[in-house]
Amino acid sequence: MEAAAHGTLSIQFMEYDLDNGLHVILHQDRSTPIIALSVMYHVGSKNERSDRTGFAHFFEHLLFEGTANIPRGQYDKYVERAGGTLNANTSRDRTYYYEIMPSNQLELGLWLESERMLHAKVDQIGIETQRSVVKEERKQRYDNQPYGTVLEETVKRAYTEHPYRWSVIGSMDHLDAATEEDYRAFYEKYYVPNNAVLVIAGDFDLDEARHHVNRFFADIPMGTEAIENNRPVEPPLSGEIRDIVYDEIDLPAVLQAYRIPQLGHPDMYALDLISKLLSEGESSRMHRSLVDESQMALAVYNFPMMLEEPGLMLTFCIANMQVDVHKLEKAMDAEINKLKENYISDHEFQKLKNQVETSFINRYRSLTGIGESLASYYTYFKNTSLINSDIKNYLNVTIDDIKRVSNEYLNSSNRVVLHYLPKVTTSSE
Amino acid sequence: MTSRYTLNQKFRTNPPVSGPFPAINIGNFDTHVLPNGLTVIFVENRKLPKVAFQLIINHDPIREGSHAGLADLAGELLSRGTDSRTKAQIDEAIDYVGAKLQSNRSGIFGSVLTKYQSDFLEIFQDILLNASFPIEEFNKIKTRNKSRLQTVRTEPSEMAYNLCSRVTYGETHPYSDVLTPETLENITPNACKNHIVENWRPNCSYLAVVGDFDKDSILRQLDPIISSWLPIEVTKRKYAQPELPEHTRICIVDRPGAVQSELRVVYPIDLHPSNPSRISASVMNHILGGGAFSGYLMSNLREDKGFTYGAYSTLHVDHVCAEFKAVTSVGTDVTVPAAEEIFKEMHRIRNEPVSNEHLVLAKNSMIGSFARSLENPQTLANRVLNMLRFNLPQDFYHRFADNLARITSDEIQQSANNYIFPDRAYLCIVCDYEVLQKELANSFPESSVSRFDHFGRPL
Repeated sequence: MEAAAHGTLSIQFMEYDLDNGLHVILHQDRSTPIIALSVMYHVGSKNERSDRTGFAHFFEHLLFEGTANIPRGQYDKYVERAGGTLNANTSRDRTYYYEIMPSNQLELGLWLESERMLHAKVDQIGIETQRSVVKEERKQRYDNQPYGTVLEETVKRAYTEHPYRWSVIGSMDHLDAATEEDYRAFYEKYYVPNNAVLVIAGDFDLDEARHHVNRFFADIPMGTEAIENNRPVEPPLSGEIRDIVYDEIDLPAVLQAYRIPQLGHPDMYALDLISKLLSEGESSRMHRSLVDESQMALAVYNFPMMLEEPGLMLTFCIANMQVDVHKLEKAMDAEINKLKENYISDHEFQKLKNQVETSFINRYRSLTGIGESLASYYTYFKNTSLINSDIKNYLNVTIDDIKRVSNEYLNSSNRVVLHYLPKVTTSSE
Repeated sequence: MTSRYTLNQKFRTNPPVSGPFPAINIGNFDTHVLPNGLTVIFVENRKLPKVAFQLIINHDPIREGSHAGLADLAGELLSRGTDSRTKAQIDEAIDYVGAKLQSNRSGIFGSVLTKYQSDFLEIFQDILLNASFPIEEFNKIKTRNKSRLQTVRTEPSEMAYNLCSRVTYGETHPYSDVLTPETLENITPNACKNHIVENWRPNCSYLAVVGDFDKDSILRQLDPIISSWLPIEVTKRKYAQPELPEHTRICIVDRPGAVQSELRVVYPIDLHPSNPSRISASVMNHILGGGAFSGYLMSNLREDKGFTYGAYSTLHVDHVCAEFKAVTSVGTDVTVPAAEEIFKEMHRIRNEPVSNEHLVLAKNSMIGSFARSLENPQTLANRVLNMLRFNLPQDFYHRFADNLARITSDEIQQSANNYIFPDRAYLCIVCDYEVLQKELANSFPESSVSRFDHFGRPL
């Protein structure tokens, strides 16, 4: 497949910096009268202190509370009253806020995001309320959810030094311990224009947008505190780590997590392809052999965590009834070993590339998707044009690379294995 | 935390004034009725070089009872083997071109890059016309469902879903069917095949084609469907509207040790998609339990009390039976107060005229959401489908935003009185019952309590 096939699908954008360091990306598309406006702050759970885990995500909740000019509880109402919607999310590496609005509301969106960046305001009532909201969020997504803790249980064993060792939602005790001073310091350090990228995608006039961006954001003072970039380097695992986690589940599961490099490392493209090869589509290797043929697994998931600093490739299999987890794990290993011992066929390789082509095209389905891609490529690579050229990095992967990379990373000495087992014996009702 | 800078920027004090709401263009479509009765909906959009196909089978729902799950299994089995292809061959052919394809009880759905459209359509039609319902594939689906059913005990939201379905619709309605290990045993590959043969017919089906395609070439490539998929009379089935309970009933699934309770307030309503009052009803529900954070339920249970991560309600319009449902997950210790607050908000929307602020916000938010939905060409196909299925007026969606904008506060209250019944609802709770039993009895002394298993069967 030639990359030329994408010539018609390149995303046009312009970008520039304000004097205060805010990076601005504009992508015009006038086919639907809406705009997707977003700000990505380069702060995530990896920037947290080890005694304040969960802080970045908690902070995201607080930044819906209000600003010097927006009373508590009104921020979202402005958006909804204007016919828009809004939300935010936090990862290990960044925090992302967005509004999707009718195209007549560009200025309102810019006002709201500039207020958030300039002078967010949070009172004690807001802090107390959001603390209990986050506690319920934790129960709903982690504690009361079968296998909900799997990522948290994995990272705490896969890392000993690096802040990737805790979950994004973090510790509820740490949230309880946070003080007024913690909030102020976090805001002043990370929520500054020189640590953010503003993206506007959709139906707007370029000159007008530049004018309003300037009006609302240019006067926001630059942050003065250096943002640390010297997190501990995680030493290699000194051998396989195995453990058992008892959970409120009925079917056991096996998790294998291999340590892999960071975003942008040349081997990451091959690893991403390997994960597709193993579990994307019904004909993928693990799906076919574990779910379909042997029926050992009820479900197979496989994904590399593409992180800014070295991450993990996760393989997660839920066992079918009465299947022994050790047998299941052996079958998973067998698939990995095949990758290490044999070259994949040309046919299978072409299938992978066709799947990559489709997934890149699907990224362009929505303005919000395009906006987030633009923001991410800038935040992680300082190279926004990767939105159009990154596919080449995938297409350049060779059959040799697949085998070499499998041998380099997918080794038992480089992984954590967890067996999730039922807490109580199952009654057969 | 207080503001960090005080810039002299007066213009910031108030929100910017916006221009007029942009014009909404619904988009263009085309429909064709093929000689065999299949209605094809074409929505062209050349933004991306791909095309999506949805075959929607539109027979009346069938009460399955002791065979609950039959239509699901039949739909799934359909794409698992044909006279000339094994499941593995179908999967390989679809994955090879980077396409997606799946079949389920409602039809066959998939998408593919335009350049591989003919490879895709060949498989798509082979599945529909030549499915072989292989016994070994049936057994695999059965095994997987057995495993899945075993996990229901640990999936609180699924238990809540089962419970709501069973209690809301009663014993004879198709919407009360819940797959259990016992009903799974009653299903055979032959019954699956018969279900498809009797009900999957072109004269009660729609094919939506959306994306970048050439209409003539699609019609040419559909020749196998046109010539070999034959119409027959499909049995019509009608169901009585389920009754509301006389008094609010508490329905419990016990989950010892649960850290959260799944809370639902649910009951059936009569609201057909072609009923003009659906627009005021949807605005009313948006005020009660819709929106991002602005709905009565979200502002109260999350933003004011901090009881939950989210609290919503849905007012699901349906041609067989519509439904109201309020949904939240809350900490065990605040389960009863949370239920009381939900009922309080339901009473409030019936008794208190909605403020202009809430009304304007809800209407704008819904018109905005309507505008946003147009970004995806699939939306138009779905709307055309609704128009055809439910005999909506041709201009229903063209006039939707205008009609919505005209809704008044009186109409909201009227609608709340027609559709919101806090005293005649099922309060369904999946929770640690031992902890909550006393408190529930004290707070809802009038309400009877019944207990159910995790498939919603009475204990």
